[in-house]
Amino acid sequence: MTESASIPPRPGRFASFVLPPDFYPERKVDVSTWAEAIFEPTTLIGAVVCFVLGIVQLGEAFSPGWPTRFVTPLAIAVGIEAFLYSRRLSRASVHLKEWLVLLAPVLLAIRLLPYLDDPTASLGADIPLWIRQPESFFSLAFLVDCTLFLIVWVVVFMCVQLLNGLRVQPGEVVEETSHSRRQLYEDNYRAIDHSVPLRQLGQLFVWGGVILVIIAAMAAIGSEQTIDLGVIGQIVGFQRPARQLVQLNVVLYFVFGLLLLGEAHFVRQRTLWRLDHLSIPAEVPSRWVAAVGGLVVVAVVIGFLLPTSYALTLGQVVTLALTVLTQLSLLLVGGILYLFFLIISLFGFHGGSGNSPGPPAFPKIPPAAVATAGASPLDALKSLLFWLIILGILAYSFSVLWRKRAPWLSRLSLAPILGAPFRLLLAIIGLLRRAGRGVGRAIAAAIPRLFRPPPTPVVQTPRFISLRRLGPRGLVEYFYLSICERAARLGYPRLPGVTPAEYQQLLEAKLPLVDPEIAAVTAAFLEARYGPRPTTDQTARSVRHGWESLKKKLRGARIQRLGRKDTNS
Amino acid sequence: VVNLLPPAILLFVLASLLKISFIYNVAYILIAIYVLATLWSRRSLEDLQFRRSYLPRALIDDIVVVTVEVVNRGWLPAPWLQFHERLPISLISPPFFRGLVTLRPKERRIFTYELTCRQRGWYEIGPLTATLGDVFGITTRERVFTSGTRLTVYPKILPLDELGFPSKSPFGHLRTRHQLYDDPSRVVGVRDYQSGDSLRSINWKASASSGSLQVRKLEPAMTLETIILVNVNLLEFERQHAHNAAELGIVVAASIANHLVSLRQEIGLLTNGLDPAVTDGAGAERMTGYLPKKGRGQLVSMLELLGRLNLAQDRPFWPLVRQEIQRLPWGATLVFVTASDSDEAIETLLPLRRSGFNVVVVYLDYPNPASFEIAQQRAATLGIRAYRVWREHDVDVWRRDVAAFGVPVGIR
Repeated sequence: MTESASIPPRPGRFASFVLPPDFYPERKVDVSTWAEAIFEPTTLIGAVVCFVLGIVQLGEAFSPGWPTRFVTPLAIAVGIEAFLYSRRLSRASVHLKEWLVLLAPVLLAIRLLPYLDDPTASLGADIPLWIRQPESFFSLAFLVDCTLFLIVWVVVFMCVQLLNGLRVQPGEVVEETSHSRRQLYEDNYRAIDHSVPLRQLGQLFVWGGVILVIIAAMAAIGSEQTIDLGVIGQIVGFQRPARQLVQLNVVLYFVFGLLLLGEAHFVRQRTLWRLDHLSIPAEVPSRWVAAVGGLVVVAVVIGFLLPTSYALTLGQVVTLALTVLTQLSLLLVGGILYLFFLIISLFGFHGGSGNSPGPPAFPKIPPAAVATAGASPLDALKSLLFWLIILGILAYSFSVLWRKRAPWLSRLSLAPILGAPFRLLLAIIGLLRRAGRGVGRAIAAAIPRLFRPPPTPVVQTPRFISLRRLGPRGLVEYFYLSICERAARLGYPRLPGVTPAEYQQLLEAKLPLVDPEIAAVTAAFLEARYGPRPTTDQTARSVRHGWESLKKKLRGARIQRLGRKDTNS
Repeated sequence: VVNLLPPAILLFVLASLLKISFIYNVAYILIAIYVLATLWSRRSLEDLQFRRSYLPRALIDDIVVVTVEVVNRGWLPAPWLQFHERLPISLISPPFFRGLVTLRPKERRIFTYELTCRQRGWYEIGPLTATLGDVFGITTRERVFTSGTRLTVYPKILPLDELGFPSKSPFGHLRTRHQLYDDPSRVVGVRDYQSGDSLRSINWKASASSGSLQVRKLEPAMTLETIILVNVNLLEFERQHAHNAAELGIVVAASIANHLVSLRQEIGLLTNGLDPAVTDGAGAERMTGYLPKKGRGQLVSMLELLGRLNLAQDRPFWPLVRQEIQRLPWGATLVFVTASDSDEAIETLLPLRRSGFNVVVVYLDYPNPASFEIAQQRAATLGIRAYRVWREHDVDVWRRDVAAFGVPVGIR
C-alpha cells in the first residue's frame, strides 16, 4: 500500500465549507457530581438571561411594540447550546461554521415564532415579500434579537472557557509512580495560575451587574420602584413582566452570579487540592454548597431589611443631630445650675431678704428649630439610620481598599492625603497674600508723586553688637575692650602706646578691685590677639566669667563714685 | 481573588444619584456578602485549635507517631481548612504533612503521621500553617501555629562491654588488683583477727558466735570516674569526611557513656559543640556538658545533649580543654574523642597526664591504620593510650577485641 493510498485526500475548499462540523470533543468534562453538572449551567445561564431581561426591559421602554415574548426562552436555548459547545473545547477557539450551525435554528425561530403569538401577522403573506425584497426579512427587531443572542452566546462561551480554566488541565497532574520523578516533573511543568480565570469571572460578573443596574435604572426612570413576588412568576413563566417590577431580575442576576462565583471558587480550590495530592473529604462539596447558599440567603435578607430611602438629606440629618446635641447640652447645663442653686439655697444664701420664695421652677428652654423639613420623628430616625449605615459602609469599604492598595501605592501614607486640604488652604492664603502685596505696590506706584510724603531722613540706628554672632576670638577681644571702656569711665583710660600688660599693672595699682580677674582677661586678650593658636569656646567661656565679675565690680565702683559726688554736691 | 467592594461603592453612588431604591438593595447584598464572608473566615480561623502530641525522645530507627488534633471551638463551621505541617527532612520525606478537612461547629478531627528517626538531632516539629478562606474567594487567611516542643533523637549507641578504663581514685565500685585501699561498704566475708587489724573492723557478732575474734574482710575497690571530652569542631577534621567523623565521635561518646553507666560508674561529658537548647548564649566561651555523676539520669542528660548537639564551625577544641582543667576532678579518666594527633594536642595532654589524670584518646580521623600507628606510638611514649575508630564497624571490632582478650587493643 502506498503512502498516498493510506492518507485520505484533503477535501477542496468548497467541500470543506459544505461539510458539516464534526464537533470533536477536545477535552474530558471534569465534574464530580451530577449536582455540580446541573448547578454550573443553571447559575451561569440564569445570570446571563437576567442580564438579557434587563436589556429587553430597556428596549421596551424605548420601543413598546417590540415583540419580546420568545426572547427569554430562546436566550436560554442559546445559553445551553453555548455552554455545551464551549465545555468540550480545550481553548477559546472560534469556529465560525460551528457557530453558524448552532445559532441558525435559534435565529430562524426568533424570526418565525412571533407569527404564532400575533394573530394579525401572516407568514404566508410575508414569505413572498421576503422573496421579492430579501432585506425585509432582516427587520430591526430581528437584528436586535440576533445581537442579543450573540451576546448570550459569547458571554456563556467565554464564561465556560473560564470555568474550564479553573479545572485541572491536561498534563498538569503527572502520572508517575516514583515520588522523586513526579516531584521533578511537577516542579518543571506546573505553571498554570488557576486564580486568573476566577478573577476574570468575578470581574465579569460584578461589572456586568453594574451595567445591568444602570440599564435597569434607565428603564425604570420615572416609575415607582417596588419589589413584588408576583414578578418572579412572570419571569419564570417567560411572561412580559410589568416594567415597574422587572428590577427583581437585577437581584436575581446577583443571586445567580454569587452562586456561580461560589461554585467556581470551589472548582478552583478542588483543582489546587488535586495538584497538591490532597485527598478531598466527601463532605466538602455539600458543606460548601450549604455555606454558599446560606450566605447568599442571609445577604439577600440583610439587603432587603436595611433602609433604602430617606426623608432627610445628609445635611439635614447633620443639622438635626447638632440641634439635638445642643438641646441636650443646654438641658444638662440647666440641670446642673438648678442643682447648684438648690444646694446654695440650703445654706441660706437667698440674696439678702430673709423670706425666700423658695427655689424657682426648672427653667423651660425654648425648643430649637429642628430642620426636619416636615418629616415625622420616625422618618427622621429612619433617615438617621440610613445615613449612618451608608457612611459606615463607605468608611469600611474605603478602609479595606486602602489596606489592600496596590504595591505602588504602599509607600503613600495617609497623613499627607488627609493634610492635603489644609495645605491647599494655606497655599491659597499665601497666593492671596502675594497677590494683595502686588496690588498694593501697584497702587502705591500709581499714586502721583505729589501725594507722596517727603522722604524722611535716614537715621543711622546705633549698631549693637550681638555677642551670639561673635566667634570665640571676637568675644575675648570684646571682653577686654569692654573692661577698658568701663575703666576709662572711672578715670583710667588706656592711653595710646600703653601695652595691655602695662595697662594691667596700672589698673592693679590704681583700682585694686580688678584683681585678680584683670590678669586672666588681659592674658586671654593677648593670646587671642597675638597668639598663634585659635581661640577656643572653652577659653571664651572662662574669660566670660571673669569679665562678668569685673563688670559688676566696675559698675559698683562707678555707682559709689556717683553717690559720693551727689553727696558732695 | 474576587473584589466586591469597588462595584458596591459605585452602586451606592449610583443609587444616591438616581435615588432608586433597588440599587441600594443590590449594593447592600454585595457589601453583606463581603462583610459576612470576611468575618466568617476570620472568626473561624481564630476559633481553630491545633494540638500535637508525640513522645519527645526517641532512639535511632524508632518510629515516632505524631497525632495532630484539629478542634473548631467556635459556633461557625469551617467549610474548608487546609493545614501544612513543616517537618525535618531527616525524619520524613517529603518534609511535610498536610491535609484538608471540613469542620462543623465544635467538631474535632484527629490525624496521625509517622516520623522515622534516621539521624540524631533536636528537631522542631512544625510550625503548622492553617489556611482557611471563605466560599467566594474574597479572602484567604493563614495562621501559623508554632511548635512548643521538640523531638530529641538520641545518637546511636553501640555495645561496648568491659572497656576497662583504669583509675587512680581510691574508692569506687569496681574490683581492682591494686590493694591500696579497702572499701568499707563492700564486705565480702570475715577472717581471723591478726595483729595490726583495726578494732573498728572487728565483727563482734561473728566473733561471739565463733568464739574467736573475727574481722570484716573488705574488698579493694576503685572509682572509674570518667569524663568524655568530644571534639566536634569541623575545622579540625579533614574536610572530605569532617561531618561523618564528627558524628561518629558523638556515637563513640554515647556508646562509652552508656557502657560506663551500665557499670554504675560516674560519668561526665564535655564538648566544644553548641547546645541549641541554650538560647541565651551563656557559656559560649566554655565547654558544654556535665561533670561526673552517677545514675541513669546522668546518662539521659548526656544522651539528650549529644542528641541535640550542633557541630561547631570555629570553636577550637584544645584551648577550651585547657580552660576546663581546673574543673576536672583529680584522678579521673579523661577520654578524648577527637580528630587526630597534633602538637597542640600533645601539649595539652602531657600536663594532664603529669597532673595525675588517666588519659585515653580516641582518634577519628585516621583512615589509614599506618598513619595511626605513628600517632599511637607517639602517645604511648607519653603514657597515653590511643585508639582509632574510623567507622562504626571499628567500634564493633574494638568491642570484639575486648571480649576476646579482656582488655582493649590499646591497653595490651
